[in-house]
Amino acid sequence: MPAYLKTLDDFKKAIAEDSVVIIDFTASWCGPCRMIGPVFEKLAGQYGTIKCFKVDVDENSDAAGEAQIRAMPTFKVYKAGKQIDELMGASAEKLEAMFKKYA
Amino acid sequence: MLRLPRVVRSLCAFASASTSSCMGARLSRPRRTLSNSATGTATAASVASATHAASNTASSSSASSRSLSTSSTAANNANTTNDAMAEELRTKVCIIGSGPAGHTAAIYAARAELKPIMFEGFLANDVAAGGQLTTTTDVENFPGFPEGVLGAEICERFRKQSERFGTQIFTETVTKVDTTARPFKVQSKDRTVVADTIIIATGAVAKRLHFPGSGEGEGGFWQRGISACAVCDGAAPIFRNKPLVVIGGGDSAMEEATFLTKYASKVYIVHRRDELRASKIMQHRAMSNPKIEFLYSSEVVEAKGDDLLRSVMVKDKKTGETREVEANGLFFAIGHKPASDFLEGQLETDTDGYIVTKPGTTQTSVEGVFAAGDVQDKKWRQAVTAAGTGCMAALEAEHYLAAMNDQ
Repeated sequence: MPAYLKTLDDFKKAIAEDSVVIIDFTASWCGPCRMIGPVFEKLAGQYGTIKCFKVDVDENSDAAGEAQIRAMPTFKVYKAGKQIDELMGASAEKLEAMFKKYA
Repeated sequence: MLRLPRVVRSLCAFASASTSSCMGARLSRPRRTLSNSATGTATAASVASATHAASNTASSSSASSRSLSTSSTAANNANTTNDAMAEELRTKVCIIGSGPAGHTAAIYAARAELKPIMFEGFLANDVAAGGQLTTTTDVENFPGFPEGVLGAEICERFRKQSERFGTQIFTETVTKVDTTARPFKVQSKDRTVVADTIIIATGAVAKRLHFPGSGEGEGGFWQRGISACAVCDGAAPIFRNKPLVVIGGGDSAMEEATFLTKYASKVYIVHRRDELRASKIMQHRAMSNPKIEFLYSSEVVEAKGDDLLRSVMVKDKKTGETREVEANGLFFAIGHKPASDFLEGQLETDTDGYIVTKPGTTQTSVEGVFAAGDVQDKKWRQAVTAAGTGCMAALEAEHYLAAMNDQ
């Protein structure tokens, strides 16, 4: 189950990893976020080489701001502290394709 | 109870065909309310459970003494496999749609021990299960909530209530319906439901125009000044005493523009033709409003701004000239599109796609198929009127089934 990153520090530490990290920037009041959540969790379970986390943009607005989030959900891919890809919007197909790409 | 921060977010967007997302604004959050209240507190939407897997719960039956379920009971498997092979289920009532209409129908059908099966949709039409209410924050005009309720939360409550009485819910989008033979067939990617009756409650989606700046994401002002529901969002602080634009020429556009003058400094009605479609009385009302200015034979070709919408470029279709109009809000009032395409003409619809129902009923052109909510309601389009027709549909389905049984 992808854990929530609660602080900016947690976020910075999480993306500093050498391995691929995918973060789901989500909001509790966002319908499409809730729909895609289970899909993200399923993919996180399937692709063990990718580390997955979630950021609630209201609870951890510092991290959301750092990542310049303007729409939810946004999935960002990081490696060694750098963003290498992103997906805006709740598309199960595109999310799965992104996991496959970085697996 | 979580207080959402004052630096608030905007609403979820109706997405374009390719994405479903919610805009995050830095400033005031539009509120779906008709009142002037600005309480600033909100209950956090309860996050839906991780799995929307259908629960084959035994119906916690009410004291209802009806015995309508007879021989052919739903062949609900306790162990639903996740095979891609279409699993087939049998039911007396299949409900397509999960807004207030769908869930009210489910509650009544379940309490009548009809063991309804519902397809709630997985981002059908890019809207989350629960429908249009999931794209709004505070709902203050649905009776029973004196403090108001978050759209996502009331949808969660509808769902819980349906499940409580035994509705089986699949988080899948219906891809195909076959009403040419009985019993009817309703299909999703993962399963087929064979049903004696169908209740269509798939709702409608506000139409939008697309031009630079009209979308979501980077450079787009959807839900950062652009909205499709003036009644819902017009009272938002970001629109107070600011110039606003309404696009449209029908009654809705007139009504919404007039409504907005309560809050705005000025309202422009931009219409692509010289003549309005609106009824005379609505036209007169708008024309005699000193805050409203009409821009005929015009169209908005671009939306501009920074954090929020600041201006729109309006093109005069006759001269070809474009001018910048200061605007902090832009509302589309160009109609709704009912979600009836998936029926592929099997039910009678009007020219706008609304399912035609016999007046005073939810009966469609096919016996045993009923339609409730915005997919058949051009006129009222409120959550509570949708709930009302959802109830009617379930009761009519029940009567129909009883009559079938008597033969």
